[in-house]
Amino acid sequence: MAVNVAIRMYNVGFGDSFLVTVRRDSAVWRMLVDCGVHSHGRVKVNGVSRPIGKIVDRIIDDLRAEAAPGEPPHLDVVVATHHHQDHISGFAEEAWAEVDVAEVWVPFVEDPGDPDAVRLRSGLDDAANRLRSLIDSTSARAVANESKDDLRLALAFAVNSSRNAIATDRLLGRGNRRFRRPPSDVLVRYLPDTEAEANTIATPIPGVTARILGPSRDPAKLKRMDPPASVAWLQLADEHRRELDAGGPLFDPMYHVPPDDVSDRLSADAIKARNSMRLAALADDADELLAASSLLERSVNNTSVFFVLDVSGTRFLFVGDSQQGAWEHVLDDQRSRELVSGVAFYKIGHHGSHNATPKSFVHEVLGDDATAMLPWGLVKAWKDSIPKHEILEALEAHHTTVVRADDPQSAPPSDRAVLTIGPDDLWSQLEFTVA
Amino acid sequence: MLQDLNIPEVRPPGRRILRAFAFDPTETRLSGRYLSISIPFEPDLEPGPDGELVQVVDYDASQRVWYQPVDLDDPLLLAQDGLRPSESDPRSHQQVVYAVAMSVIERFQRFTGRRFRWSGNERLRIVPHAFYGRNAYFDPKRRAVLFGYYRADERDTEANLPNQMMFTCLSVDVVAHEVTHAIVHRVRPRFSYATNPDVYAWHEAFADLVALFHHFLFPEVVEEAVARSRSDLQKATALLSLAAEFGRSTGRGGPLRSAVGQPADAAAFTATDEPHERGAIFVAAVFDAYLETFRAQIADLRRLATGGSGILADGELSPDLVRRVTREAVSNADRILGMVVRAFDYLPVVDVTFGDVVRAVITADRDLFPDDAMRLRGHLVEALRQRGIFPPGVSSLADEALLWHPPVQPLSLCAGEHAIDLAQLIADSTMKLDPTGDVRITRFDDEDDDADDADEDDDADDDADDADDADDAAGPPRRRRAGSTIAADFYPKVSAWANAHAAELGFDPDVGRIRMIGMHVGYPTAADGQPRPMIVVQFVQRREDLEEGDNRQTRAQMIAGTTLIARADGMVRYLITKPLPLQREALIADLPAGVAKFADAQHAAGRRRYDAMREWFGLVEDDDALAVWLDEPAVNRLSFASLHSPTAGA
Repeated sequence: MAVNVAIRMYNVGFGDSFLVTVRRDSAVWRMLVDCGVHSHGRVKVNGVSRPIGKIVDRIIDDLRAEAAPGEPPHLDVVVATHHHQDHISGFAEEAWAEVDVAEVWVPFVEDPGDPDAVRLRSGLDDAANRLRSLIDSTSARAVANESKDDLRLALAFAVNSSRNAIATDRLLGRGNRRFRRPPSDVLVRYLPDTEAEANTIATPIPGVTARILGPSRDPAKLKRMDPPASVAWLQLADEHRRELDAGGPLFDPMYHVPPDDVSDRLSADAIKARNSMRLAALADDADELLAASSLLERSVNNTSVFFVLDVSGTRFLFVGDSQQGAWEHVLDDQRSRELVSGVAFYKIGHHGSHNATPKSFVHEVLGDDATAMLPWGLVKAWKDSIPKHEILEALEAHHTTVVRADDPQSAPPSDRAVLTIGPDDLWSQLEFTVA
Repeated sequence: MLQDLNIPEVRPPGRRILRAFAFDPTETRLSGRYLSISIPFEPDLEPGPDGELVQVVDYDASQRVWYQPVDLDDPLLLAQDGLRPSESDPRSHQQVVYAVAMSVIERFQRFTGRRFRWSGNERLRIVPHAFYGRNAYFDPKRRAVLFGYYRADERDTEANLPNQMMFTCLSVDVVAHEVTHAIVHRVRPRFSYATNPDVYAWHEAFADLVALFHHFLFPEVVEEAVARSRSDLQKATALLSLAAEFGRSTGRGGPLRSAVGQPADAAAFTATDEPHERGAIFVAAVFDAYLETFRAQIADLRRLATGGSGILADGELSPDLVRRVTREAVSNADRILGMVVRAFDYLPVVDVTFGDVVRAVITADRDLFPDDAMRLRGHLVEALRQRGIFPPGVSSLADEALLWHPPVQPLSLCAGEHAIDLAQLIADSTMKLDPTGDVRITRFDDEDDDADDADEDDDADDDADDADDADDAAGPPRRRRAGSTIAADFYPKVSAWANAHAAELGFDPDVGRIRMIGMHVGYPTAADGQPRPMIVVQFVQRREDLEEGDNRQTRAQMIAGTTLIARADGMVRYLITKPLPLQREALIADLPAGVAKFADAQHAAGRRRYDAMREWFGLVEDDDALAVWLDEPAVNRLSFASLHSPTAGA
């Protein structure tokens, strides 16, 4: 009996949202993987940024159209791969309250019942909040021109990791946020489970299972998920610096050269040397803040749920935004490696960035003639670095059909799946028939 | 009036003595001791201090304020060895950084047998209070050493008071370390680009080595330690304890303290990639050799002092014995450090490894001291071996196996196509050696980076190379001093010679111009007391055909390099190559037999080097969380600032 698998990628911009529908005869199983957009990466329609609510409404409309008359829109599973804005911001929308969701899958770091997870998760939150306030306070002082780009980028990372509380609350049924059925009736899975067998999750459709391969729970690998240790130090430096600003000078003012006397008391050579060194940039920790923020960004990416949907041996790979380290955990394990070998579909990790799709995976594991989807939208600051053209070229070299969210029309035809493009380019869809 | 003319002239002093903390404020507070640093007396020292080699710029970017510059020529300061160092007087900080920087430079100069000048005759800027922060580093782009200051917190066990302000510029160790980075950058600018994990490790190791051995420059300090050691003289605990003080208050000495004086573990070196750890192991090995030689040097003194029994009585040592032992400890430090410093001329131009350093040390030392009468070389090779440091692939640790190679067939700068007349260069260098000559007046610039200037004029369209050189050598904006055209004259001649002998030098004759980036004449003194003039030339060839990425300004550069060492008559004695694979392997067949064999070996070595660099760039990329977001290769983001940052890797 043939099974039909449809993977619909919504064009959110720089973010992810995938609706997976598996049908066998009259039996249907639906899973939504992520729903979010980066605050700098929303799609512009006629010059106006499209809010994520529009996409949420569209998803719910699509679900409603499929629901039996009188029944609410339904999802069997919602997966929130990791708690970045560009993957979960959509769940903050109140419209979700009318959608019936049976299961929610999140990474184990979200588990409020696991003390280690709580420590890690609150560490990440804490780092994000502190970095935001540090970047704010640094930006509030006079900042060197060359530091501005660094601070902007650092802020983008910190924002991406923070203020997703409403979305997280809904996913976990906390506060007054919820899906349609009472939170107590929603099964929340914190993945991977510590019990190995619980990481193979059956669906009601025979032959269709999800296999959870990551993130790692190995303490050695967890290091890549730890919040950056430098944040505490940066914060201390910031406090001291503010004390100095407020509480008097470093040396007795008699050692200062008053501004009016500078040209008299210092040689032209000294002033020239000072100017040519552009010392102002040293006064802010912009580069350190950027380094810490980018570490935080990577840490959260590496908490991504990494899984394969297995439909009678035909496999569909979803990796969230797993970066190097998270991938290693999968590729170094023989059984996991087999599961990701020769997959029919690959959700390209982290918007096609460097480090999120290992070269060795494309060249040695993925195989030829696969299909792939690239969830991507323009963020000006990253237009040259993401997606990494080397990755797209490597995929092309293996005849992978890559569908881009922003330009699905450009995808080459595939023997394995049928491409459909939705109205107003709101989504594109690959449909597979598994014998 | 007339009688004024008859007053005998007072000659300026040869030395200037300046006080510094020994070796930082905390230690001085405990010991009550200050260092008296003796440096050459600069007659025209301006307030700053602002001298010929060093310019102290005391502008605080965090506070946005200038601090009053110290005038060391103020008679009141001349009469009292400078200001008494004080944490609360920024002028004494300026004095400390100036004194330490000058003494490090002078020592380096003494070992190399030539006058030290910064590139383009510019000065090194030192900013003692550059920013609020727990860091201090050499910044090649700013051509400056930048020092931070910070408030101690509860983790700073070395601080006397919680909340005490800590000044990195007041630690003699930190200043010596950072200035040494600048010196290394001067003689090997390409070592500021990490093409393998050893490149920065070597920078670190050498900076630590100089800073560590700087403790042995002060007889009064060494004497005190020797006296304290009493009958333990043979174990040299005194010298070990001096080494252990290194970097104590700054935390910089961490990896060093765990290596120096500890039993050798040959596996530790291969087990780590971390620059500080690898560097520390190298420093520890050199220190082992130092102790070993020291013990041999004082054996006779011990015999004399003990009537042959070798067993010293308990109690105080005789002050005479302390003085003689101290003298050995001090001069032995010079011998060992000198051996490493002299090796610099024998290092490759790019991509240095610790294996190269070992070869360079051996070759340089053997040229001057073929008999190794004091067993310095033997002790060092053995100490390095015990800590796992030796060139890969050598079958023996005998001198012969470790020497650099001569050209496969005779090669001379003064023969064949584009032969060069070296007389003018040698005459110029000799004149510069005269310490009474005023190089500022005669304006005989140093060679190396004027060569770059010449390059800029010579080939204005090669913008990427020039931009890169400006970064390496000087930093913005570049001030040109009018002056010597010696280097400018030589640059095109030597480059033409090199391009005519590309294959013989280990380069690809087909692709990429070969550029001379440095040339000098040195006069090191050999065992027989005679100078041994030598000519050292550095060549590079950028291989854009092997580079990846669209932006030729920012992509990771592929550079082949060759150091050439010749006698004063132009005969080439050694070629130290860092090759890259030939673009067209077939050209080997067209070369004369001897050169073909050499080119073939270089091609193979080049292939290995290319693969290793690619792999290393990949590792750096994987490790850098920003690599995802920025187009520029991660290796370009490695810097001394990040190497020294307290948050590095956190």
